[in-house]
Amino acid sequence: MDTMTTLALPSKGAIADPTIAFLRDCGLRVEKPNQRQYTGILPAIPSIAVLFQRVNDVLYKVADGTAQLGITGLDVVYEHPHEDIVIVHDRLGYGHCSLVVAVPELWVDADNMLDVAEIALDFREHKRRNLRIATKYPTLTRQFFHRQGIHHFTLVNAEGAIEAAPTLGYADIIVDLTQTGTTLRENHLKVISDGIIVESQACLIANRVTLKNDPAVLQDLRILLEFIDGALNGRNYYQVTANIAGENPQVVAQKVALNVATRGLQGPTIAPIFGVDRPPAGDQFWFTVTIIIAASDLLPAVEHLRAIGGTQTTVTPVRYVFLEQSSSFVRLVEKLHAST
Amino acid sequence: MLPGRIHDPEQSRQLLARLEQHMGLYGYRSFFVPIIEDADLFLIKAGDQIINQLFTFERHGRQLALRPEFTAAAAYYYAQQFGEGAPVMRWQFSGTVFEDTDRGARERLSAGAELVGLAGPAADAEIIALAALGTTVLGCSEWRLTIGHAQIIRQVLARYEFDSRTERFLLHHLPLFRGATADSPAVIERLDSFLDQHNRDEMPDRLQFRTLALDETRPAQFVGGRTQEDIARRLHQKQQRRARRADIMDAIRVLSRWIHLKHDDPAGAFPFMRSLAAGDPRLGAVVDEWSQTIELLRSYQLPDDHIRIQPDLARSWDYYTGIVFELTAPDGVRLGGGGRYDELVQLVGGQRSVPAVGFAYYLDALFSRLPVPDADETVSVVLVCDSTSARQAVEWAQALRARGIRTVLLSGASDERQQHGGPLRRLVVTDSGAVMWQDSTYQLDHLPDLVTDLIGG
Repeated sequence: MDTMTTLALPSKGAIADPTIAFLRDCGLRVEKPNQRQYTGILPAIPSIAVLFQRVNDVLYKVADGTAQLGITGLDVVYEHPHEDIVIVHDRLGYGHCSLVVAVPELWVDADNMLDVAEIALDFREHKRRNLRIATKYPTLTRQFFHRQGIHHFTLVNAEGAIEAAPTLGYADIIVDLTQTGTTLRENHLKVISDGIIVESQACLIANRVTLKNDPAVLQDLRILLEFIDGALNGRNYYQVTANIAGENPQVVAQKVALNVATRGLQGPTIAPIFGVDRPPAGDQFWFTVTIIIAASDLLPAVEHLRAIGGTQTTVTPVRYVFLEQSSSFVRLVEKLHAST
Repeated sequence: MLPGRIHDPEQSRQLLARLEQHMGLYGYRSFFVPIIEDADLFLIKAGDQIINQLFTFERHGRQLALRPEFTAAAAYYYAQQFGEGAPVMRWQFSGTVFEDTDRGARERLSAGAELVGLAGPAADAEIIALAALGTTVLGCSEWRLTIGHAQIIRQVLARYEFDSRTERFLLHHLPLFRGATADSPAVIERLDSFLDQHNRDEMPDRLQFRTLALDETRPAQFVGGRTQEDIARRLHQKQQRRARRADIMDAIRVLSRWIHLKHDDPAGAFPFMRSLAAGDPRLGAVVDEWSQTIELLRSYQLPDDHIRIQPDLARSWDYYTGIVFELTAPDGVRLGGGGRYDELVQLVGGQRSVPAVGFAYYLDALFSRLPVPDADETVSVVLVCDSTSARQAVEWAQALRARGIRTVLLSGASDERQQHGGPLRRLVVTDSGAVMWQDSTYQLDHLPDLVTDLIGG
């Protein structure tokens, strides 16, 4: 019997539901036959089984090979570096948050990390103790503070309400994840201006050793990436359709191509419109122009189509854009070869 | 495993025993430091940047480390045991210390001493002499002693009342000031880069500042470990920093005069240092205290030509608070070092500051420079027997050992490879209980004859 490829997904926390929604938007609906179990299936890719785990455990399972693939946060991956973990896609586009240095808002003399460095020295020299930092990210916190030239501090391991640590008195400042900053402000904390340690979002990881040794897993990953890349590419485009009058399709095409926003991925598709109630004036005919345009060019494209006589312009989101091959897969293969 | 000419653990043990005896003569008692401690203890002392050199592991949610040195644990023990009191303790230590390197974990032998609870030149001189004379006791007389004083530089800077960041900038760049004048492009560029960093600070809101600094209706509450006074004081310093460029340049010129002292002439250095300190009573007091320490070293008969003065010698400005010294070989290799660290006991949990001074040897380097010891001439005996003569063999072995002869029992099938230095005599115990050696046979009641013959060879 063929072995399934296991994809570990977060079972709880801020990125759990968004992960299911993301995969659904990619055409990869996750089914959970038994709500009480921690397993599921991906009907679109039957050879992949889903395993639900806590966010940190996704990483551990992929590292030890129990799961071959996983989705977790970049913050988790950077906090627990492992030589057998490879980041396959670092920008899934959801789960955005930042790991930041936050200090009490009453520290009006603290704007940047230079200030934090001085305050750390003040603690040691005048209070004869180290600055205490509450965090669940000791590895990233250490590396960041060392890079800032700050070496005298004590990390306080805090699970739960880290934001309350300075108020409760068991830490002086914190390093924690934030999305909007609301929780920090409500706890009378402020983010240090250059104190952003990691900009995190959801990422796709894999076990490097398995990818090199098991072609079936690599193939399953390629299919997964086709869906993901196709869907993510699709978000960047719209399909725009407009009716434009012209002597012939070539003339219409030339008018459309006058603006770079309306040149499409390769060029417009132009089809004649039949059975028109109101034909255009002179020796012109109605044509339907269909182009795929970049989402950022939507309004310039519509303006140009109007300018060249376009009417009834409709816009539909693009579900997928499949290029020659999945760019993420190409980069992954290069990365795997480079590490041999 | 020690590098160099001495590899024999037995020889290392003997050398450590001589060191222990030497330090014991000064009243230093052996102090046993746990091998495993909370990692934080060492990080507090040396700074978090050593985390990658510490051999750490987690156990029951605590991060622990194998000791990289002895001083932090000694200070911690003192802080825990002696509370309000501050008795004088003289401790010596020796043993294995551990570090984690790129090439893997490494262990090495270390030895040294701590004098806790005593301030002043007499204590400083005692520790320095203990360290230097210890190398002589071991047989290494070719050492050099470089002595600095962390308070000299700190007192020079104290008159300017710089903020801690500016002080750190100046301390960190002392090597640069040694090699260049205050007005040199390298110094100017570094200074302007430092000041430019702070020019980017936004000025705090004036109303916010006044509200914070002058609001007497608020109690002096702590916010994240700092009071309003702390915050207001630092705000004031930040505002003043940009205006201090001229003062910083002046401080660099003054520092340069100190660190360009003639180093190899202790006698000549102190009058010059007193002239530099003229007009600054605190600085003058530090120079006087330092001078007394050097004078006392002469009473310990440390040769003047082995001593050099270097005011800016400080391996860590975060740690040393007074005298700092290094023992080196003529080729510059460090054999040991130490200094005064009056703040450590409080940093590791003590209720107040306790004066302390100590040192440690780099035993790998020191042992590798010792003369190879003479071959061990102690006679050793191997008694060979079989099962029928085992009981008599034991009686013979005990009798020989009572006469101070090192004796090893071997059954007929055992490996006879020599394990000890010196001549090895092979004796065979017969079934009748006699011992045969060379062509002679001895009975137990003729033991003195056997011993004479064995030693005579």
